Amino acid sequence: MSAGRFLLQRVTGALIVLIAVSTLVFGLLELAPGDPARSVLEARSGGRVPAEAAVAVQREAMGLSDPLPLRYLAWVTDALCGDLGTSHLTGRPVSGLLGPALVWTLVLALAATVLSVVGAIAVGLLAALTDSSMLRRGIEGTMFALGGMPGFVTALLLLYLFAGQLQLLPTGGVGRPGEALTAGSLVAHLALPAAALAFGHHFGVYVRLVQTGVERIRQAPHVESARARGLHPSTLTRRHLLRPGLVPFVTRLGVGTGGLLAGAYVIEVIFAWPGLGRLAIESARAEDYPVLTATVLVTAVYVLAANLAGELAASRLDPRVRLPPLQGEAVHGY
Amino acid sequence: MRALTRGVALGLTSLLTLALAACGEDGTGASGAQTDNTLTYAIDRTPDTFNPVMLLEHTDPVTQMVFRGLVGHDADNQVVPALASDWTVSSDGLTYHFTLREGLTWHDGEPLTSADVKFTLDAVSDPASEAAVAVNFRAVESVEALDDTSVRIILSRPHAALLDALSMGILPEHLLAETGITDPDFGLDPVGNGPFRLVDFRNDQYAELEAFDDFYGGPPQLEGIFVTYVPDASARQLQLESGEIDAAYIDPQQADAVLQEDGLRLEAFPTADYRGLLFNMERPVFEDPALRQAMNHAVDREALVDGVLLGYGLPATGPLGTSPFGQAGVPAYSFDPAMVTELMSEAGYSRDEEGPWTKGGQAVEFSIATFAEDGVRVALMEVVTTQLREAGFAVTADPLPRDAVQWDELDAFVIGWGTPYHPDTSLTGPFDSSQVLAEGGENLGSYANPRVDAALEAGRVAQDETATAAAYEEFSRAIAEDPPYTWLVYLQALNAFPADFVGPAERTLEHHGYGLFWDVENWHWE
Repeated sequence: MSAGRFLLQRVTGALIVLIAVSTLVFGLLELAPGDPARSVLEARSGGRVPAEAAVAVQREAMGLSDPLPLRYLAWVTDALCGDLGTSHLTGRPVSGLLGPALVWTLVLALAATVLSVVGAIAVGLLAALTDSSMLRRGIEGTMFALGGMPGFVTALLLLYLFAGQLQLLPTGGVGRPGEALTAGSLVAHLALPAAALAFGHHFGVYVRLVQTGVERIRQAPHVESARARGLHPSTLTRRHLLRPGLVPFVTRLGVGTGGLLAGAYVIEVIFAWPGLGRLAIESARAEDYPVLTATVLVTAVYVLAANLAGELAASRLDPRVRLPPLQGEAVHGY
Repeated sequence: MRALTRGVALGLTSLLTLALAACGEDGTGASGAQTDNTLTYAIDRTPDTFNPVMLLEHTDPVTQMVFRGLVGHDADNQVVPALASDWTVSSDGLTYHFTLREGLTWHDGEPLTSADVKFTLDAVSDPASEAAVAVNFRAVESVEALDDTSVRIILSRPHAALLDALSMGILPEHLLAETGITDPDFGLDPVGNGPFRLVDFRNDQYAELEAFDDFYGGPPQLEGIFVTYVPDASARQLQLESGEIDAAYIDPQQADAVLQEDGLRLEAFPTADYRGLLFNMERPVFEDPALRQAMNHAVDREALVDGVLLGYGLPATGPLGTSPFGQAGVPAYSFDPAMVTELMSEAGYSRDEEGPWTKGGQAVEFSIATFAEDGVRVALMEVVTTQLREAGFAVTADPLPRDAVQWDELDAFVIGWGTPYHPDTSLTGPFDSSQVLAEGGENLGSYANPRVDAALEAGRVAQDETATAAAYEEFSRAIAEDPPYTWLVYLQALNAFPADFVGPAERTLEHHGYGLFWDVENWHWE
């Protein structure tokens, strides 16, 4: 299969998933109990229970009495034109809310991904290549503990230690209010949420994947032969161990992005990060459906794109990924 | 691969350098409290709008700083001049005449005149208005701007709560004439007339406000205020301790930590926000007033305040407990198990040693619900359930998600209402028989009592303090004898402020502690 066809196939698959997700989300919201008109009124009066008469007027004003297929069709048409609707609560375009939130979530996710990739490769290689069984067992034990700890616990521990006790790092937000955003202040504000996200989600699994990926290949005949040829250990590690050994990890990394984003929802609330997750939680709480559907849609696009990127990266690292296994020939090595 | 390794190494190095540089910049990256003449205050949620006509009894801090109404409230919640310097009300209560201060200006420098007042009031009293506050202006028939500084409002029926309603912010006609008062863009980029103007707003981050030197009360003492949005209560506490923020709205769980922190002061203000156990009067089990009186004696309110609110609350024995009107002279319900037995026995109920009260073979049996999302209400529900069971009422607790609540299908519900202003705003809806649920109203328990209706009507038309006080005292007596609820507690609003900061003067606040920024122009560092 050519790289172009591989790409085309994957993108088509992603589009189908996207359409399914959007239909599902729209349908689920329709089935969800509750009345957005009531929620809007409650929000405007600080939680006061609205009168039924007022709810009826509000429903009419929000166009909630149109039949469902009609509303779905209108929504899809608008979404294709880049119009994601209007927030029930603020009356402003959803895209205006979503844009900045998406950027902040991307910044956070990117920082967390860099941290967890670099960290997992370094720790995983160390565990795979070390001669000290104590070190290996230490790493494995730590990763086991980390893997069993929910992301928000990691977050609160980091917060307590670095912001509460040591007061080394700021606890929340993307910068100090009213000050121009500088790289230094951004990195300082990113440090804790990114670390919580990186080390609180799948990090133990990643390390393990790097470690086992490299360990298995280490014994493969071609590596033995390269070693016997007297190849320099660092070249051996780089060319023969790391590159193919990372394939399972990279593929998993793409899938893990979905989990990372789910983790970001909680992390953003704890660290007052103005991203997509916080927007989704706030809009779900307020039943601001247009914002909620749009955040789910954008999240779906993001996860699909990340999965695609993971697959493409894996196929570059090892071309066999994009080839269907031939009859009678199993793919060995991992 | 080599390029990748080098790239990663480079990235890591620059990250580290940046982190170190960040530390070098201001010592820790989380330096101490502001030393300039500003205040940084954190609340949990970003508001959806700063437009005062879109917020009913829900005065967000920014909105309160940016907008002022014709009148305001003082520390005792009495109506005092604001944009209007004085006013008169005709003896029939139908004509209001307001005189504006001279030289009022909007934050953009345009003059504020009676035309703006007419524009705003016309819009909110329009029957088709989408403004959340429209409900307060239904009695307004017409508004006239007599000259630049005088306005006449004519009502179709007396409505004594109108003065309090006129504390709502006035909106600029020159910016909203085209788009209407509910313009969503204006809601997040408002131009007001209050002591501070909004210069920057970042959703889910912060609002930046700057002193408005042409404010009618003179320039505010602080130069600027930041309101930051930090959803997690523990995170707000950590930010207070690290000095990232100066002040914050906090939960009772954080109060101890604030009290122990040098340099911080805890402000626990009373609020008009009460919780009560609403009875669905359509249920035959609640028919006898004696039974509802007995339940009011079966609840240990001190235990609720101490156990659920960690001491930050007050016992509630009626809906006007923190109001300047109406509960004085009315005997308050006390926790009195002997009284429960007496009232129940007199009403013909009997019980075995361990069993519930029964009458004619029917046990007093019902379930209590509340919003499952509201932790305080759920805790109150659980403790009240236990207390009522101990007093011989066969009660079960059943929290419901907000969306699953069907008012007509409930037996009883932990509900909350209350206003620190004219009582009518939060009494007619919940207790007047014209507002019952079946008619689409807020009287969710379908409570009907002609004496209560008459007292509420007297309160709406009363033109002086004596008549008002008399009307609401009569109301309080009527509901004490025929209780629609078992009254539980009043909540307090907790805020942390720096010890060396002169902040808000104490005042009974709106629910959720709204209204804290009422005297923000006087706040200053010592």
